[in-house]
Amino acid sequence: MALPLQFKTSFLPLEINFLAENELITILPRVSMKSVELIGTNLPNLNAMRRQEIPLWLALILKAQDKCQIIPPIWLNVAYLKARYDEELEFPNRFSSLPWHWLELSKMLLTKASDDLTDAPHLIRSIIQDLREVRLVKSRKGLKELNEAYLQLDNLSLMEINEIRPYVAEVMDELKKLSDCVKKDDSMDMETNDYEEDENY
Amino acid sequence: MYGDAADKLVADAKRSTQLTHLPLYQGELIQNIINETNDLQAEVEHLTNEEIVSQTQSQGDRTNQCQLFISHLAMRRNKRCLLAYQRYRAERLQYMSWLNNTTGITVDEPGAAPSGKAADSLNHNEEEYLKKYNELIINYNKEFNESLDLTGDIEPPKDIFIDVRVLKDVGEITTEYGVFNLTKDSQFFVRYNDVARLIQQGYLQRL
Amino acid sequence: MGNYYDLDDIIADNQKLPCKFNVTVPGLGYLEGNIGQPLDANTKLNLPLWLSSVLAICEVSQDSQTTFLDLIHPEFFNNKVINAIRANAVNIDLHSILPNYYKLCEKWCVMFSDVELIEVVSQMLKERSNEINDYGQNPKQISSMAGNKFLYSLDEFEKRLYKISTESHKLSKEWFHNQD
Repeated sequence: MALPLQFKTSFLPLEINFLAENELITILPRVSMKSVELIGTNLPNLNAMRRQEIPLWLALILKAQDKCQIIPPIWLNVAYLKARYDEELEFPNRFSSLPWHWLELSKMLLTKASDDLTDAPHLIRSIIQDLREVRLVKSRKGLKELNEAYLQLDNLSLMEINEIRPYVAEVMDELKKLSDCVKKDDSMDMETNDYEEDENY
Repeated sequence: MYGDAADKLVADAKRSTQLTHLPLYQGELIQNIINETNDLQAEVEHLTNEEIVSQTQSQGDRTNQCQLFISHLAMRRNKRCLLAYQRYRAERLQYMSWLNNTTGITVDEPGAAPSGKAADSLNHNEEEYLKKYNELIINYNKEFNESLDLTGDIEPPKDIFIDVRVLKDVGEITTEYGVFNLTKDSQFFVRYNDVARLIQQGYLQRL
Repeated sequence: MGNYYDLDDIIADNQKLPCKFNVTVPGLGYLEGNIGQPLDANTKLNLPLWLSSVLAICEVSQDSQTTFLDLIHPEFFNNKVINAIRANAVNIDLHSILPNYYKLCEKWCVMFSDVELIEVVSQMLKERSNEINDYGQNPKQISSMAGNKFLYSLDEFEKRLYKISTESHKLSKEWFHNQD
């Protein structure tokens, strides 16, 4: 295939970022705007000082033009994240439940809308980093349970899954190949070769 | 031992998976393998004629046919190695076309100037293949006209306008914002769409 | 159809294995170095897998059960190696035993159904792949002494795994720290 290797096995982080930008987020517009029809989505009527839900990418553009203020999602503050962090440490066999795009959303909001956040950005940044590391360590431990048929790691976000997906898929493929070798009933079976030899010349 | 030359060929293909550029086409080695296969074919014919003449083969006994069998296996092996080598190189060529590399000149590092010698690394059949495949891509792209460029950047763009530095003289480009004279080492703030292709081909560097 | 063109598969098929001929075959002396002479029964030779695996399955005549040759249990699957794997899967030097260990294992077990070998090798794969993932996430460690030794001991499949693992972790890390 013509795609480079890393495209074949998983998404690029940039692509996941792109997907995350579709999430809806609440904004507080500073000006009123008429609705705009775009491909795939519409920008609804914006009334100043009235909250509205729009996709994140639109919100970031409006924010860059200083036309609105972004309301951070309920999970993006130190208290909630710290509680999740403690939960991670308390239950070493489980992941705490975080939103599907928590890494991408938090990164984008921290870089582009840090003044809208309720707590100091550097605090949030550090706790996000801690959370990410703790979950990474846990997922590494969880991968020790790999077998060829089945792997269950609940509550991982898309970015984290994407990181381990290529590795896990390869290992499981190989394990499956190995175990398939002995499952066949007749050992004279040559059907793994797709070309047939005919001996009668 | 039969199959040694074929193994060298496959080892060469395997080595080139690690390289960014496509190495020289192993014309000589391939000719050797083809000669070896032709020799095997002659031997096979000779043996089959012997069999028919001497009529020693009994109904089920294949011992005498073993030599025939081994030659046949060796031929199959050579064929497999040759095909795999060709196929691997064809895949690399396809990969290059999708990256808009229409000339077949490959470079060691991205951004380095292509050396004239590298143009020899393709067989003339492979050059034909590259040309025809490029035509296929262009024709396919025509269906979407201007609205979608299938060979463009795979990463989603972040900004509409970007800073670029010119690495090599390209001449002038006309955009809706004016005419830019792209001389070496000059910097411009331009719309991404206009310059995307030039960046891909290595003439501009994104800052 | 994927296997026919796969370069790794072809290279693995080239691996030479010891085998013993069961019958005398005329004209095959060149395999031993005696051109023109017949190859006697009970000669031991090292033949590549693409040749020996077919001959090992093909019977001499339609009624008999003897095949042209028998594959002798090779060194890389014998008890000594299996015990070494059981003892310490992570530190064993797979590359020096056989660069294409896993592929060969699959091919051998398709013919001989060695369940014990498969179990040991699967377990080894799990342990080593964990180690590989660890190094993938912390690429600086691979340049240490122990890391270097481990890297050289990987076989072809594991090398590919390592490359995939480092690439994906590297991309994620880059994205995460990029202040774009």
